Amino acid sequence: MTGRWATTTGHLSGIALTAVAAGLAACTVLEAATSNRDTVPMLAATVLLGGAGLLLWRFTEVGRLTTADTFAAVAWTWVLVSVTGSLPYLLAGVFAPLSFGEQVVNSIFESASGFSCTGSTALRDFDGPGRGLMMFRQLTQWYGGMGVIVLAVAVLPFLGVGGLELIRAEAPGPSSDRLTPRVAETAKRLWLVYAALTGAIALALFIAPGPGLYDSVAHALTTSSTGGFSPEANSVGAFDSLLIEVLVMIGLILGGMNFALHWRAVMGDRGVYWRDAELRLYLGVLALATAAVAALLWIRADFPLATALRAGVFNVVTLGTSGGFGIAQGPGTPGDYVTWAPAPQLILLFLMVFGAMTGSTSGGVKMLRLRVGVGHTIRTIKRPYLRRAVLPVHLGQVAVPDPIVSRVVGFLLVYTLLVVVGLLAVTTLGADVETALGAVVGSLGNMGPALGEAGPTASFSDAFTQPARLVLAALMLIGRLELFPMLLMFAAPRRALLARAGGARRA
Amino acid sequence: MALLGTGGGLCASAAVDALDGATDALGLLLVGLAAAAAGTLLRLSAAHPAASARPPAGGQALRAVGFAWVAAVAVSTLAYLTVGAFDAGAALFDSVSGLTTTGLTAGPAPENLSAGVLAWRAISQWLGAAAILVISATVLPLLGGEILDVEHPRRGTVASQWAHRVVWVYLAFTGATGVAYWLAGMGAADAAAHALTTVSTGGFSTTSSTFSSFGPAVQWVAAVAMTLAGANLAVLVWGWRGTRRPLRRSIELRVYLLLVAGATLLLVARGDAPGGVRTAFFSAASAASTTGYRAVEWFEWSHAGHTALFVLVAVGAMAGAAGGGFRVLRAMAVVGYVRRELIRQLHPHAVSAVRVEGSPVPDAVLDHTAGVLLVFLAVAAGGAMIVVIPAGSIEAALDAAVAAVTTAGPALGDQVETRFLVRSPAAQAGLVGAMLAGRLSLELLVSVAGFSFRSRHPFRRRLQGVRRR
Repeated sequence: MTGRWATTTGHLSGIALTAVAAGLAACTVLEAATSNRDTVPMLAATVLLGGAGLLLWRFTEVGRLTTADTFAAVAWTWVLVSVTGSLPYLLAGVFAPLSFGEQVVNSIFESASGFSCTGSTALRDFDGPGRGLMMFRQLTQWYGGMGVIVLAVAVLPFLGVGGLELIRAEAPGPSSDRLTPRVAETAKRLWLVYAALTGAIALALFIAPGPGLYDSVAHALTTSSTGGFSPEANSVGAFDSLLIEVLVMIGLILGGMNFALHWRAVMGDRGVYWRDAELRLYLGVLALATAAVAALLWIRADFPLATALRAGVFNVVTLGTSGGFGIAQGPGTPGDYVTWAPAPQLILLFLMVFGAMTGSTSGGVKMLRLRVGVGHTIRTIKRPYLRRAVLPVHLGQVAVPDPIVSRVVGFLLVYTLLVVVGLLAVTTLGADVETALGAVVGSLGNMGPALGEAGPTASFSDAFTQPARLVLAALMLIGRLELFPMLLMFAAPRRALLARAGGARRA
Repeated sequence: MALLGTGGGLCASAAVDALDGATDALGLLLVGLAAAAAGTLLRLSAAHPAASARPPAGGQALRAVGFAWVAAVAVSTLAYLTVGAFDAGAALFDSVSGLTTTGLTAGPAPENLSAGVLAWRAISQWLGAAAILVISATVLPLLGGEILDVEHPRRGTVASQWAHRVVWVYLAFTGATGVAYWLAGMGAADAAAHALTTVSTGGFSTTSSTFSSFGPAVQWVAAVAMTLAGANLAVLVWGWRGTRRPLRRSIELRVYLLLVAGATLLLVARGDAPGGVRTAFFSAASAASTTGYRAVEWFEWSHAGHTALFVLVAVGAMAGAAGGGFRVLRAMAVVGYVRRELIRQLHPHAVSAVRVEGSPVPDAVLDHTAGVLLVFLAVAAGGAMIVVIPAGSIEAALDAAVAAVTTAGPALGDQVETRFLVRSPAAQAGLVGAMLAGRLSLELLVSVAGFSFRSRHPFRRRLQGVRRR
């Protein structure tokens, strides 16, 4: 009777598009006030996106909310926003001298890389687009981070995706994320943490010598979202400042932590960080990887120790948190890790698989799942020798029940299959195995730069053919949404279609 | 037993060498006799196992197998050392590569080795595979029984019957392949050596160049033989009951053959290698069976071809075959697991059984199989981490590590790079570990899903019934 169309996807997309349009509007003002190159296209895009968003929002309402519907809503919204979010780039002709088809592909790739907080770029010329447009690009990742927080902490665990919520439900204490029973309340609190973190990083960067207001805000947006976009061609390397690198690293590490922990800490529970087993694992892995990479660089690549440490630690942190900033000052410099010996690069590849903590804006399979996976692997080896024993997988002090271990292992298997399928697809579409592997793993894990031809100083439009870029964009979205929503996005529509067909036949 | 086998094999090698030129005959003979003597002594002094009604515990059986393997490797290493052409690392490496039917070599090029050493290389792979087949038939049911609530056969009666049958088929297959090679144009010695390493899916060759040097007819024979070697012989041989063919009985066989066919098509479509279907089929068969012969060099395949071969090698041969890899049957179970996981996301309370070969797989087995995949990945990753240090690229390291874990050998990777890589002690250590882990742990410690779940499928029950009688 409201005259509205009941579609969760439509409603969610409407809200999202309106929000994106609002941000785009602000960036348009910025553009008009600064470089004034792309003001008109951005304005046009604002009107289009805002109009579509408001219409959808006004004329739809939330529909069914079964698991299938929620997955479909989340997945389709993300896809829709990513595709329509490419409009500003397309209208402004960011990829201009290329054919129209390739411009579309690149714009979609860039937009998907933004909203999924990945950070891979198809851009070659960083000076072409206006400052406002580049700020919008940064903003897309910040928005992506906001969406992810709600998803990762509120919605998906509620639906038991990948087994995480089930673990946390079983393991009460600091690792429990049931801050409040209501999704909306939880989301608001975490957004507050997110906004505060972004503000703090921006302030720190601004105070430090180097970045001005523009760069401080721009990099803060993509640090707290562990996205990795930068308006500078050389990313963080443009500042050539150890202090800036340290600040960004701290921001990335914080962004890679469970936001619920941050909330608790802010509310007064200072010890919450240390009590969390996953945090200890996360920091431990980062430390170990840094030591190993630095050692290998020093010994095998003949870097001086200081250089090895600096290049090592930044690249470990940026990939270990799925950030994706670079410090290379050009191809071949110490920060350009694709020119390193293969051994430290392999460590980086492993980090790209692992990711950071659950409940953060980072990607990857997450430390918690890694821990459960390792536990299951060890007991598989022990099993034939201890056939009658009960061999639970432990998480800190708590034993994880077997059905939950099964779910997590299931996630890991789906991930493995996706890597294999992705590898086949991308190599068939032209890339060599190493580049493809790095890109597939990096896209699924929302890392940013990859290996081989697609390293931190490369553009993905040089390394991959157009169809390959679209495959990678799809993988970025699949990985961002913790695999299942995208893989199952057709379940609800299919059911609706079948129901309608059945109804029509009966009528 | 292992010592006896190894000793016997070495003596045979010595005989071959004596016929050819006697350069290494004496060394091989001495080591062979010593091993045979030691083996006989041990056998006589151990308590006779058939006396006890209780079968040995799974863990005990595994340890026994492990020790036997170590003994065999030790004897082989000694043999290579006495011959003099190998340094310590290479001797160990090639021994392990032989007995695990991998096929990578750190030693001198085959052209520079005596006939005796070449014979031992081939025989070691043949023995290694024979051992695996026998162990699969006898030890696995012991492991399977208690984990999976399946009745295991009574010790001493049925298991050894089954083992005998398998060995006879294996011998016949070897003989037939040797004759086929000879008829296709290979010299008698080459035919014999290659028959041994084809049927065992080992991959050692008497030439360091590709198989193309033997001519097209030989390549066709090899391709067919390798495909058969990677299949479960029991299914092939005993599947002709009534009017139903093995293909209709075994879904795994269909999947395996589809994989080979699909890869062949992909390679033909994308590859720029000479020889078209012949070389594509050869390479696909070599990869799927984890044998390791090469018809063309690695760099002649496209990137997609590399990935396809990689995937074939990783999925590997059929369960119960001499090949390696993760096993087609387990891969099918994993796919079923993934499907169920997707369904469960939508319907968390659905009861959904995963079916393999028509019968449901118990959850315990599924979880175990998933764990095996994780072990497989962990070993490959760990091996790659060690091997990458001396390696020239991540790809080379991954190729070598996966080739070792799956015991495929030269099927993966640029062989010039690999040969350079295996000269480094670090790489040798890492790869030896990976080969042993791949052959032994995947095969024995964790290979439960291959045989041991209770089956309502009439053919499987018949197979198991043979052992249960």
